[in-house]
Amino acid sequence: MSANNETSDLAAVEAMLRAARGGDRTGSVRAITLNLIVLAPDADGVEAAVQALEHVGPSHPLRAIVATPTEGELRASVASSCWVGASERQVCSERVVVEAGAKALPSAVTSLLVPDLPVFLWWQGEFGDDGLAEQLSRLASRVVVDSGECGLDGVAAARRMGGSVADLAWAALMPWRDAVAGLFDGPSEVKALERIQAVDVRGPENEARLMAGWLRSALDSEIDLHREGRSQHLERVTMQSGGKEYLVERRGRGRLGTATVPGLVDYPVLLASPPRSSLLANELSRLSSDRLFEQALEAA
Amino acid sequence: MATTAKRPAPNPLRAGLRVGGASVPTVFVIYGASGDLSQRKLLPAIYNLAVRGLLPNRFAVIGYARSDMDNESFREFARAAVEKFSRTPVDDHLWQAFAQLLHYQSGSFDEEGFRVLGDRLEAIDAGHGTGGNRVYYLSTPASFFPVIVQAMGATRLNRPPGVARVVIEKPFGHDLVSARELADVVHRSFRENQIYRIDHYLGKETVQNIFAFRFANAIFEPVWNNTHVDHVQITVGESIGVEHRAAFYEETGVVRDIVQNHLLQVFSLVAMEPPAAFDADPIRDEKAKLLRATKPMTLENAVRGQYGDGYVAGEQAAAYLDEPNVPPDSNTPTYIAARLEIGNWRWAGTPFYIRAGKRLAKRVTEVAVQFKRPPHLPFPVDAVEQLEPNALVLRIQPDEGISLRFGAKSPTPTLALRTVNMDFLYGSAFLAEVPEAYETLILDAVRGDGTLFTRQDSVERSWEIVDPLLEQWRKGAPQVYPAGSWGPDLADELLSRDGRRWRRP
Repeated sequence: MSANNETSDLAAVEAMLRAARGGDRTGSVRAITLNLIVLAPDADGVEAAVQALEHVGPSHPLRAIVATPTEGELRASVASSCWVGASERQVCSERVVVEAGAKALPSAVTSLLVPDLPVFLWWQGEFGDDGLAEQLSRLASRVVVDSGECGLDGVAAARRMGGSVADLAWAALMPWRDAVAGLFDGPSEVKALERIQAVDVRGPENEARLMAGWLRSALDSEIDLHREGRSQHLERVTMQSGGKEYLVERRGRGRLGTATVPGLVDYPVLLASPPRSSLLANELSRLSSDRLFEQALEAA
Repeated sequence: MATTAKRPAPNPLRAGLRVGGASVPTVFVIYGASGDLSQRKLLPAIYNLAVRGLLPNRFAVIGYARSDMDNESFREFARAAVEKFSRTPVDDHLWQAFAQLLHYQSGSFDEEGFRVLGDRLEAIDAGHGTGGNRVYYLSTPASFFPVIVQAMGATRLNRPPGVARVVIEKPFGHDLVSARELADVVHRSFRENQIYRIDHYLGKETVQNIFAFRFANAIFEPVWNNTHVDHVQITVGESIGVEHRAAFYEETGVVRDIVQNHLLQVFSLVAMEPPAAFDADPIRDEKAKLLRATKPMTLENAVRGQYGDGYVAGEQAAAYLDEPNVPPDSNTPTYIAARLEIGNWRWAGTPFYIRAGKRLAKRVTEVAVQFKRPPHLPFPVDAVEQLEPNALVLRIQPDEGISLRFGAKSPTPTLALRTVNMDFLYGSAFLAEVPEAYETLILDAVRGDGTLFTRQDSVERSWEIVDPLLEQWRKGAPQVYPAGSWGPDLADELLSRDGRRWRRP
């Protein structure tokens, strides 16, 4: 269920949210676990954020402040969404969509944060190396970007703001990294890792570079990257060692792939790319920086 | 005795991956694969772990039983089991991949059969790169445990090229002597750290939340002792009767069925000292210390009951003695209430009252910590006459949550204090799907994490705590209580003689 309301007075937002969740009743306990600021560059971004929040909310009851820079007057709309689980219990999230000038936006967002709860910033699109990005990043313990949108340079710019940074594209690589690591889980295959000099990747550039960066940093060796293909998603990762080929390849468009290890029967691997909202939800579960990601990014 | 478990060579690409999942290639052997437990719990749990991406990439299941099946028919059997009992629906696409992991070997639980099984395991290792790592799950009646373990030792299945672990279902004996006998047999083939004694109760998220509640929150631990706690009540109530398990229940009764394992495990989690780390041995050390400090149960501090007929939640219920296959003169207790005492610095003088039974008013498992009254109440007597002491209730099932009872001023012109409850429901903060206990425990066995499994010293101490009572209760008759009540009158007297009363869950 949900309720909506609009205002130009941010001081009225708390009362509107209270009304949206049906008022404070005796014994009611509001369970909110975090603040999420979403920088949405335009109306499409707001829509994408609202859709993602509908999926994130059940696992992370939160207050989302969706901020959009505009030329017009300050305007806020308020909504509360609740979800009922299998046990017929209900969790609720709050959403405030704020439009304001870029200079006014950080103060508007600050006034809407729930005290004493962690703050995350999800920055959509290209990461601006400007005042707005700096001020919003300063509010957040963790900044979430997508190198598929902002490139690895954008991720590096977010890191320069000083906080912990997450990349949704890196998060989406997890099943692939797991499958690639699985090629070398056996004692004899571990030795083959020492002789790997190059990785061939069919897939987008940012993911290919992150894959190569991960291998270089994890194996502490120079590994060449050969990339091909124009697809939006990773299709294949191949490595050669001692004249033998180790391979993970997606099967069609499905969630499954095949792993090939010399001398063994090919086996299925789960290459499910979770939806963006699930990736975001996972990133909201941690506050600290992801050391592996940072090392992979530096080596990419 | 098995050799020390060999550690697999570390894979540098594994760092940071599979946090919470398993990665070491493994073959999972189910003895009794065509049986009820395998069908209802194990195969659905393994399927769900695979769907969640938590099993090693190189993983195989080999079902072993007397039933005559081949790989294909075992896969069909598994599919039917998953369709019927899995908490998630079967995904056709994923099933095709999952089914490739399933293998079957038919045979008896003897050396001849196990030699064939050994050959089969070697063949799977060679083709699937599972490295000789094995988890053996004994999903058979307990009477087969010694037979299977001995035959495994004789055929060296306990000494594969990789790591071997054996998972044993409760009961771990039926008293102290038989528990030790079973352990002696198992220890001839496996070291203690290779043995995973499963008590599915400990796999429940809700039970594990006791750890989180106690040791992740600084505000409760300072008052978690005899200075502030008046007493603790632990209730494990079932609304169902023995149903079709009378033969089993006649052998066990409520003490062996609930108290010796589930209830004493919950009790030890509530009362143990904080462990140095959330790892298997530190936690099991603290639980064992707590059980060692717990005095054996005595006749004068315990009450037994047996349900008579009555109504449970509006439905008529037959008396225990009228259940199918129950002897008319059975004195098997279906209810126990007891006072447990802990002889240590933290809890000396603070009793733990436990009760468990079938055909009680409702199904509930909870721990109620009742605090002492304030030393002085600076209010008129009539203002506080309805004020109850503070109580903190950890509800384990159903409606898992925490409830805090405290006093508040009633909005009246005259000063009046009332007791109010503040309820927190876990389901109101997290809607994530909760895995089945068997998923958690199977995954832990594959990962080699023994934290949630019971160690032999705790098993033996639990029997030492309940054995005196079991011996004394062999004779005499339990007090009959109406089905749908909270137990016999004597249970109320057990508390009233201490100036206390049972909480109504």
